[in-house]
Order: sequence, then structure tokens, then C-alpha cells
Amino acid sequence: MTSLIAIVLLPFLGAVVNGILSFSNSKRAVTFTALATTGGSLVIALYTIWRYLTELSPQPIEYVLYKWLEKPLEIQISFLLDPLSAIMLFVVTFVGFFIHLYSTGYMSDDEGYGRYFAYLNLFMGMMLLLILGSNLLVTFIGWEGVGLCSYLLIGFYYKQDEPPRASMKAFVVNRIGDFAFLIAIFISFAHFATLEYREILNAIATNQQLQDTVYIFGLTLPALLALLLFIAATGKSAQLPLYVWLPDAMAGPTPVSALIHAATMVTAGVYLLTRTNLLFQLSPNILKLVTLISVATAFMAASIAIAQRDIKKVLAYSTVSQLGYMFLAAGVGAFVVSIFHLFTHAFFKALLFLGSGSVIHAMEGEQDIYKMGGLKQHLPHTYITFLIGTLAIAGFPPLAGFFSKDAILAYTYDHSKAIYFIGLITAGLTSFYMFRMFILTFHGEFRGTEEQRKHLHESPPSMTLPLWILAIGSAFVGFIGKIPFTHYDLFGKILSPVIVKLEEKAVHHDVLHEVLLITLSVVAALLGLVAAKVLYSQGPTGDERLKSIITAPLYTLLKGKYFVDELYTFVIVTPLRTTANILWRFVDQLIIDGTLHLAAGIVQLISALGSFTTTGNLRNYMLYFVIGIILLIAYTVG
Amino acid sequence: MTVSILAPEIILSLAGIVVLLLSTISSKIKNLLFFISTTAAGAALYFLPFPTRTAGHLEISHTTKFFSILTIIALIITLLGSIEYTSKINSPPGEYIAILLWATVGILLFLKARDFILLFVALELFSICLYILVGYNTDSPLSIEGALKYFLMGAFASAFLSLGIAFIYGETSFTRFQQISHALARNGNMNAELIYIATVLILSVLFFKLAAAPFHSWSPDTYQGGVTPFIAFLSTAPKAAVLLVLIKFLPVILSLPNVTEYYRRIIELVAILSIVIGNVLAFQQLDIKRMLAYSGIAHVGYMLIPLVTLDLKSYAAPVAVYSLAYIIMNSAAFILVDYIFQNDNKPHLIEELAGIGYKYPLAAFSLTVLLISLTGLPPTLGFIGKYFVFLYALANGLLHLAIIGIVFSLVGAGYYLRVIYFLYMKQDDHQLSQKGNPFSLLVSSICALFVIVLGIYPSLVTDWIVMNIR
Repeated sequence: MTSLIAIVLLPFLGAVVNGILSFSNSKRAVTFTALATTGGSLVIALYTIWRYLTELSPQPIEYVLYKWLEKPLEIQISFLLDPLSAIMLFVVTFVGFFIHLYSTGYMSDDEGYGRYFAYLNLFMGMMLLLILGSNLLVTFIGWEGVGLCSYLLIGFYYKQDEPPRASMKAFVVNRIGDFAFLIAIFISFAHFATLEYREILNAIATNQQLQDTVYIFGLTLPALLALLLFIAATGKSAQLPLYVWLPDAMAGPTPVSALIHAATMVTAGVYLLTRTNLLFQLSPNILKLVTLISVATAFMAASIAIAQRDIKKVLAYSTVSQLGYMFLAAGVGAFVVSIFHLFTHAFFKALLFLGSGSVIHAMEGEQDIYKMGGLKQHLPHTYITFLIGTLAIAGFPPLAGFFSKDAILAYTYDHSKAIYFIGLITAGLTSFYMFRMFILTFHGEFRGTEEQRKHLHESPPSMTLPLWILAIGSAFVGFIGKIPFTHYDLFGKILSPVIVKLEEKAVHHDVLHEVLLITLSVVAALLGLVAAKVLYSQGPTGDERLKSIITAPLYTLLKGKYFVDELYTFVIVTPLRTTANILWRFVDQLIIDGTLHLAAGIVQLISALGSFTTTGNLRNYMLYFVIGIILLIAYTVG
Repeated sequence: MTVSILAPEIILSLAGIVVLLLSTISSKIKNLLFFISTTAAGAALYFLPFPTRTAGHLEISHTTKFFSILTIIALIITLLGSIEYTSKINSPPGEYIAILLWATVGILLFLKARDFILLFVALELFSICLYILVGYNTDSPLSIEGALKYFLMGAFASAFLSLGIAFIYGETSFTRFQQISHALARNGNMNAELIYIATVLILSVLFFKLAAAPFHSWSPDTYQGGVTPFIAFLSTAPKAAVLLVLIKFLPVILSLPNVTEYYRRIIELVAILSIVIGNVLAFQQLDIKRMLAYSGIAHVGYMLIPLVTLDLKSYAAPVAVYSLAYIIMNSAAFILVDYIFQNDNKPHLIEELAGIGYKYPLAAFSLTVLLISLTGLPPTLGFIGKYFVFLYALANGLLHLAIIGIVFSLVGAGYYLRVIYFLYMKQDDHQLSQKGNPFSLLVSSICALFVIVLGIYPSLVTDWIVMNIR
């Protein structure tokens, strides 16, 4: 499986070359490097995946690149190809390549062109490490690496005020999750003396005692690991309570939002849960926690999205909400469906972000949907593809989102009716906020300035081609999942070896139930569509009517994003700052620095005393030599 | 035994003669001379004899081969780093190159020696070359002072070496290692105390050549005054060679009954003293070359730690890994110091490095990488070297040495990182001269790259070392 190395190394190579090229002004060379490396990676990946999945019964393949350190601290850099990583590999290289292509158009006028692609290629390499790593450490290297790239790219426009602040926020919030990941790594190593997924999971699966004994805080070891990994996932995948960084992350260039903050990096948490699904299946309490957190996140983010004006903010909250759906699926034990939704979401959400990028590009950087409207005529390709993406995310059959979301809701229905209804309402809200945004952007009268109207144009082919490719994907990839009323489920069949089956609990609804569930989903989506159409056909004034319907205080709450940021500032950031200030003044400056300076002073003093021996006088040196010999003999014999 | 065993030595000696002859023809063919000598070094590398079990005077094993490679690497780094330097001083470049090549010949023979006579001759061969080269910059009084001190101390030490050899010969009537070893083990009517004193004398001279404390006093003066690019060679190749001889010499003297514990204590004492004295005194230095001299003493201390186990079968591998790291990072660091300062006639003050990070980005970055490696932080080769040494120490119950080593590494971080601080965090208020030779920069950047690549992927070499070095 040497091809895995090529897949991972090509983007890294691109990052290095582009990093060097960024000092020159050769945009062509940068474009070529960026596309050649990610394109090469994509082609090799497609070939590898095809070869792998068409085998009769694909076995997981481990490829040890090399051992970094030997026992006792054995750390190997190794890759794992199994159905799960194959699917992730497809998503990352496929979506990644087309977003690179799109970026060549979107970023063409930016002076940081080379720097941008160096970061973006680096991101691809790190993301591939994350998903292909066969142990926790390689995944962690990728995990931190994508976090770094996310930081660099959110703060890409570093001369403005907002992006650096947002990038810092993203980094710091992510660190909280990373901390949990690190502890999980330490605990795994302490108990299993290895970090390989296969060995850890085997050790747990075969040791009944380990599964039953309480380890700490009333948790068993698998439950503790599951909890830590889930905390890590809430950071990277923007779940409650750590989701706050993702909406701010929209300060980065739009293709970055599409690639990192919608299609790939933020789904790393979902991937991690599925990779270690045994741990979660062994700990029902943690799964319950996952369910509650995810459904709350999904609903809360969707409700915030209905009152936002910034086109990217709406999409950002929508991403948080959709990620909530993925975790919901994992929480009810349907890991296959969770990855399936990740898969379909990568297509339609990347499409929507790229479409919004195309709109923003045409509007000269304008992101406020109140100032858009009537773009349908000017941006025909963007319009149609955006419509497909919107229908897909809203869950209209037979587009991709319908299949995955319906499957999640079906599993949830079996699990708990109450949570099912929250999920259903969220689906309705999704349809509503998406069509609200869609109508405000593309229909009605143009509300921008005269200058913007003159500038309106469809994006170049390098941008519309990815839109169409992703639109086709959003329309059709749903069919590889479970088709309602049949037993046909290609996706589930591919993934089944990865998911541990502790007990058989497949969903067997009778036809009537199935019809009912599908009807409810479609009705929810339709209601959202109709409500949006009725309220917003006259433009942004619809918000006033929405306000009168749901009452002003609630509307203010939604528009203010439940004031979570303000709450965090008040409860965490400010006290932390104050404490940090105290620690800095007294503990750090006085005690720690004091001790350090004292130690350094002592060394310096001894050092100065020692320097007296260095007289520069040859007689002394010869004397030292003889004394040295006598010392050695006296020390040993005497 | 065929001549091909000595092919590298012959090639380098001939190249030295050719260079010397050519240099008399014209003074404008400096680059050609460097080309010839570097090519010869490459050829010597290629013709290194295949490891066999040759007995007799010469030993050719994987271990000697590995250390020969290290020596030639140091030679190549030094040659490429000296091109600019030789055109700035009065003395002609041909002699510089020829003497450097012959010094290498001496070291290569020294590595192979299994006989005290050959050992002594080879030692003198390279030592005399080294004395000359330290003082090659006759414009600088410091250079001459350093050379004279090194020469007088070296002659002084050689006297002790020959005395030690004479005692052993007198008692055993052998000069070959193997025969001495047998004779000691049989222990006829020998004066064991005299032999013990003789071995301590020989060990002391080896420690002197290593610049290990308490025999280190010559090294700061010599390094500070000496020709900077040549110090890249002086501070690395002879040290690695002497370490190998120590590795080969210990099994011989361990045949002497009842004194094993004495040798362990000697090496332990020297290792600790070197680590402590080297690190503590380096902390105080204002001149970067002096700082590197003291830190070099500390590095020798680290390299001696594995030898304390006296476990003949396994102690060579960690020493080899550390030597590899030390040769690459230390020689490249001296080349960069020369590249940045350009002027060898005045002190190389650390504070003059202020703001260099923005003036010579690549040179400063490479130097930073090398300093991080010298400190022993991951992901660099320096870290891998320390990791191997400390892991080996812990595995063999030398906890106290590992602790001392790690604690004083922290002191090391203090003075190494201070240089980086000057490179990047201080404002530039000095005017340094124009840019140096691109070859110096090229070769040291490649070394820095190596240090990182091998730090990330150490098993490229460490697997081979662990398999083959005994």
C-alpha cells in the first residue's frame, strides 16, 4: 500500500513548494503545484479506493511507514486503509480537489495567493494524516495539524481586525477539546502500552473485566476513553458547548469555509467516534450524553440560523446543526448513518458554501442577504446549483440529504419519540432558514448599490465547474445509501466491517411506519419552504412578520445567538483574564521567574567562579593535566 | 591483505600531493583545488573497504567504516565551508587543503589501528596537521596563540601516551591489542599496578584529545582563536575517532583482572565532570566559539555515558548515534558562524548576532535548527542522540547519570536558546560585512535539513547502526 504514502505526501510536497513560491510572484506556478498535487492525490486515491472496495472481502490494511521511536515508547508512523478511511479518503480528496480548483478562481486577485495555497495544501496533507492514521498519535498529529491550518486560514486576512481575533478564538476553543484527546492518548498508552486502534480495541473487546470494572468517577475505562474522545470531538466538530468558534471562523476566505469548516475538518469528530465506536457501544451512558448534546446542538443552531443576516453565518449555523444530526445518529447507535450523513453533507454543504462564495464574489465582498436579491438573472449557474444544494439540505427526495436525514430520523424514532420530534422540528427549521436565505438572495428586487449592480457577473468556469460537480453529487449520492422500502443499502454494506455489532438491532419498520416517517419528514421540509415563501416573498420585511409571529423577545434571543458568546465572556473569559492577571503578576513574575532567575544566577555565579581557572596561562593548563591524571588514579585506587 | 584496504588513505594522500603541486603553478586556481579535494573525499568515501575480519595491525569492521564515513563527512563539510576563508588570509590555500587531507588520512589510520605503534604514529600524523591548521590565520595573534597552546599541550600529552605505551610494552612485550589482551588475561609475573597506571595515562591522553574534563583546558582557547571553518573539523572528526579508539581500547584493558570497577568509575567521573563543567562554563561565554567549545566538552560527557556500562557488546551503538548527530550539527554550526561573522581576526560575540535573523534568513534559520538540535529538542537529530544515550543509561541502571545529563541539558537550553533570542528578538544595531560564500551556506543548510529529516525519520540510520555497530 505504498500508494497511501503518495496520497499523503503529495499535498505536503505542494505545501512546501507553494510556500517557497509564495515569495515569488508566479501565480501560474502556484496554481499548477496546487492542482497537480491535490489532483494527483485524488487520482491515486480513487484508484486505491476502487481497488480496495472491489475486493471480495476487503480486510483492513495497515502500512507501517516507519517506527519513530522503539520500545518502550513505541511510536510508529503507520496508515490504515479500511472501509471507513476509504470513504473519508474519497470525501477529502474529491471535495478537496474541487475546492482547490474553485479557489484558483476565487482567490485569483489576492496578493497572498501563494501563501493561501501553501496553507490549503498543508491542510489537505494533515487531514489525510488524520483519517489514514492507524493509531491515536498519527490521528492526533493530523488533528492538531488541521487545527493549525484552520487557524492560519481563518486569520488569512490578517490585516483586518476580525479574522485574527476569530482565528485565535477557534484555536483556543479547539485546544480545550484537544486537551481531552491528549489525556485519552495518555490513558491508552498507560493501559495498553500501544496507541494502535486495532490493538486497543482488541484489548478492550476481549477483556470482560475491563468492560465491567469501574475505573474512575464511576466510569469504566472504555467509558472514560469514550467521554474524552467525545469532548475532543465537541471541540473540533463544533458541538455544545464548544461550537462558538465555528460561526466566527467564517472570517476566513469562503472556499476555506467550504473545505475546512463544512466538508472535512469539522467532521473529524464524527470520524473519530465511528473509528472508536466499540468504546461508545460499551458505554450506554456516554451514548446518551452524545444524543442529548447533539440534538440540543442541532436544534439550537438551526433556530439561531433563522434570524441571521450574513449569508455565511447562516451556513455556519447550518453546519453546526447538521453536525448535530451526525452525532445524533452516532448517539442512537447508527454509526453507519452518521458517516452517511457526513458523506452527503460534504457534498451539499461544500456546494452551498461555494455558491455563497460565488455570490459574494459577484457582490464585491458583500455578505449581507438584506442587500442582495434578484441575483437569479445574473448568476444562472450559481442559482441552479444553489437551489439543488438547498433542496438537498432541506431533505427533499430524491436528493442526497433526504436519504441520510431520513435514516437518522428513522433510527431516532426507534430510540426515543421525544428526541425524534425535536429532530423533525429541526428539519423543518432547516428548510425554513435555507429557503429564507435562498429567496432573499436570488429572488425579488436587487437591493444592493448601483455600483454593485454594474459589477454583477457570473463566476469564471474554474468556479462554476466545481459547483456543477458538487451539485450532481448532491443530487445523486443519496442513492448509494439505504433506499426506503428496500433492503438495498450499499453504504451500510461497505461500512459494516468497521462497526462492531454487539447486539443485532436493525430497524425493521413495517411499510406503514416507513411511509409515515417519510411523509412527516417531507411535510416538515415543505412547511419550511412554504413558510419561507409566504414570509419573504416581499424581501427582508419578512423578518418583521416573523418577529410578530414568534414574539419579539424570542426573536431578539435568536438574533443574539442566545447570547452564548456574551455568557462565555462573562462566566469564563473575564474571570479567567482576572485570574491570569493575578497569576502573571504574583505567581509567574514573582515566584516562578524569581526562582528561575535565582537558579540562573547561581549557575552564572558558579560559572564566573569557574572562569578563574581559565587563566589562559599554559603553565596552569599543564598543571591541570597532571592534577587530572593524579585525580583519576587517586579517585579509583585511593 | 591487499592494498585496497588502504584505498581511502592513498587517495587522500595523493590528492594532497596533487593539490600542493598545483597550488605552486598558479594562485588563481583555488576553486579547482577545492574541487579536486572534495572529489577525492567523495572517492575515498566510495572506496571505503568492505568490512572484513582482518586481524593484525588493522581492523576493518562496520564500526570503523561508520566512523570513517563520519570523518569524511566532516572533511567535506569543512572543505566546502573553507573556500571563502582561504582567499581572505595571507597563507596560500593549497597547503591548507593538503594538510587538511593528510589530517584526515591520519584519523582514518587511527580508526583502523589495532596496534600501539600504528596508533601512536597515526595520532601524531593527524595531531601535527591539526596544530598547523589551527594557526593557519597568521594575521591573527589569537589564532597563533591558540595553535601554540594546542601544540604544546598536545606534545605534553603525547609524552604521557608514549610513556603509557612503553610501560605496557615493558610488562607484556607486545604492542598489538589482541596480544596485550591475551597477556593481561593470563597475568604472568606482571606488575599489575604499573599496568594500571599505564592504562590511566593512555586514557588521560585520549580524554585530552576528546577535550573531556578535567583535560579540557586547551579547547576554549584553541577554538576561539583557531581558523573558524577548520574548527568545524577539529571539534568533530578527531573526537569521534578518539571515541571509537576508546571503544576498542576498553576491551583490551578490561582483560586486566580486578580493576574493572576502577575503569567504570574513571569514565563515570570524567563524563559527569565534562557535562557539569562544559554546560556551566558555556553559560558564561560571550564569544560564540568559546561557548561552542565548552558545550562541546559537555557533548563529550554525554557520549561517554554509554561507555560507563562497560558492556562491550552494546555500548557502541548509542555512542555512534550521538556522534553522527554531533558531527553534523557541530561542524555545520561552526561553518555558519564563519559565514555570518566573516571576520576571524576579532572575537565572535554573541550579541553581534542581533537581528541577523532578518538579514540572512536562511543562514539564521539553519543556525536556529542546529542550535535546537544541539540543545536536544525534538524533532531533531540531536534529540534522537540524547534519547538513545539516556534510554541506554536507564536500561542499564545508570539513573543518576541520566538525571545529571537531563538537568544539565536544561542549562544547555539556557545558552543555546539565548543565541536564537539574539538572532530574532533583538534589534539590529551592528553592521556586519557582506555575504559569504554560497557553498558555506549551502553545505550548512543541507546539514540543517538532515538534522530535521533524521529527527523525524531516525530509523533511516539508527536501524542500521543498532544492527551493525558493536
